Amino acid sequence: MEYILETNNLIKHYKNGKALNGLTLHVEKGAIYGFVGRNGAGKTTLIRLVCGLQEPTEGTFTLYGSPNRSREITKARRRMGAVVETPSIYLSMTAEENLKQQYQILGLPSYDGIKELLELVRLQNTGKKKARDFSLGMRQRLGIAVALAGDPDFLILDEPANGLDPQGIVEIRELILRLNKERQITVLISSHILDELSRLATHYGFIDNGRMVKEISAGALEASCRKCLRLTVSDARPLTAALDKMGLQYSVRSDTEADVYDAPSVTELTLALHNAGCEVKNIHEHDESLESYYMNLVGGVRDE
Amino acid sequence: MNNLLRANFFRLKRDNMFYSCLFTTLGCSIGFMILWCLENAEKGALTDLDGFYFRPSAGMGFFYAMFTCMFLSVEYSEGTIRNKLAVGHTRREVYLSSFLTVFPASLSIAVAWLIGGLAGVPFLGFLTIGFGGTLLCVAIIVGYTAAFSAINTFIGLLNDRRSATVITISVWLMLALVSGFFESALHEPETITKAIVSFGEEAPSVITEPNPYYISGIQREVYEFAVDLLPTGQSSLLQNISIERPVRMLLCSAGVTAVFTLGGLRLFARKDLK
Repeated sequence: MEYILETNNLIKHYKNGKALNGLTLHVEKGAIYGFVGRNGAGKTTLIRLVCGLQEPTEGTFTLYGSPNRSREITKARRRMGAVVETPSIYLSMTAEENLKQQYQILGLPSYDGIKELLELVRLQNTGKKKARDFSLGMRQRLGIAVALAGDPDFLILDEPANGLDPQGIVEIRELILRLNKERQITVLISSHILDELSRLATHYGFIDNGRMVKEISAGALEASCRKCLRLTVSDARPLTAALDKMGLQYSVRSDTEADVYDAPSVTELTLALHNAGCEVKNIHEHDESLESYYMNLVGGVRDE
Repeated sequence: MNNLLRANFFRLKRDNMFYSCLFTTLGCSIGFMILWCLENAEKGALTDLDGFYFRPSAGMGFFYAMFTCMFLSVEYSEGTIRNKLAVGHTRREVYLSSFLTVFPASLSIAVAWLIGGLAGVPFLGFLTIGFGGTLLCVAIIVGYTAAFSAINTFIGLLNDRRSATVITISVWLMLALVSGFFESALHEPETITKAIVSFGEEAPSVITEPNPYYISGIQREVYEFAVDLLPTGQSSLLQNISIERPVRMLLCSAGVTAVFTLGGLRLFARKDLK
């Protein structure tokens, strides 16, 4: 397995406590790695360490196989682009000037490719408009374009959907998918918008209190999520009696609703309920969501 | 580091704050020079350009501080310093390239002041201190501009936006007050003359006695060294072209520049950035 980024027992102390507490993570080449955790779990701290904005207190990480304390790490970082927290752009410059600035920083010999980048993030028609007059979504896309200057093959995005309107979220999602598919860019996305992440990620890392709780591929997560039939009935009491009689696993959600596991025959189930005097009002298949998987994993209260 | 320097100058060319400082300095320099000339012409006190040309020197530190903190703080407030580090530039390169951008930019603000001062030439003619004297003054300006740039870069890159602006201006003000205190103490005359009028005598008797505020010995040397060391002290000395120890002043500037740059590099390497 080829990993772009591997961390080993990373610890980062701040004055007010540990932000990372022995974090171990593996980002496979070609993956869209969803980095999931609540606010303050340590997602942004890890990204800051990888980007060289801060140094780990203990532990190590490798980027393209280069250890973080080696001289090669600076070369490895040249193959990486990042948008940390807010897009890093000069607000007094236009989109094109921002890209030219980044080309200068990278020491690229010409400005070829800027037009293409602007088209990729759909900012080709912004002309002389300064970045300070851009919408949040446009700034986010410009931030990604700046991160893509120099043709990196690893992109780190910290909460890219934060503060965006629905259209902006869709645009960013499509852009990330395009970059991954068309340019084979490995992407690490930190987010707590789980529904959005579930439409993108090929791998997940669940972090809590600075520790990795679980790393899992999207396929394995789907397989491990329990499927069930969600029934809405007139009364849950005859329902539970009938389900007990049938020996099925279930969980009662309310006086009129229950989830039934073990893939029962729908015909047998409805007949048994009919005989028990229970009217079935609604029945549909239900997958455990990424959100409930995460909540089961890290614990906590879910608002529904 | 060349890439970072090119990028910094690319930004400098588009920086409104830089042009504001440049043109404000130029405008103030021209305006004040004409005002002084007209004022002194009325009094019949117009002598030569030397007395006026370097007068704005003491205020230059303020323009340097304003420009530097605004220019560097953008890197933090807009988060763009991350773009430099995340693509593999070292902190040393980021710090040095910032200093090497701020220094020539501050020098160009000084050049704007010197050009503006030429507005006095039609009234007073050229400087009478000659080519060597002018060159020495320019060398002192370059020296203290480097020292100011090193101090301002130190503050600008080690603090976030709000505190950097306040600290940079406060430091300039504090240094100006400290050097002003030393300088005024050094200007105390060695002796004071008193005129005593006694009852019944027609003419007052004049006595000369030692000035208790006069500073001598090691204390005087320390005060002189402090004025030579501080960039605000140097800029104040230049106002009246009272440059008695030019080599020491240049060495002091080099020392301040080196200490703040090396210290800044060391602290910046350890700083947690967000």
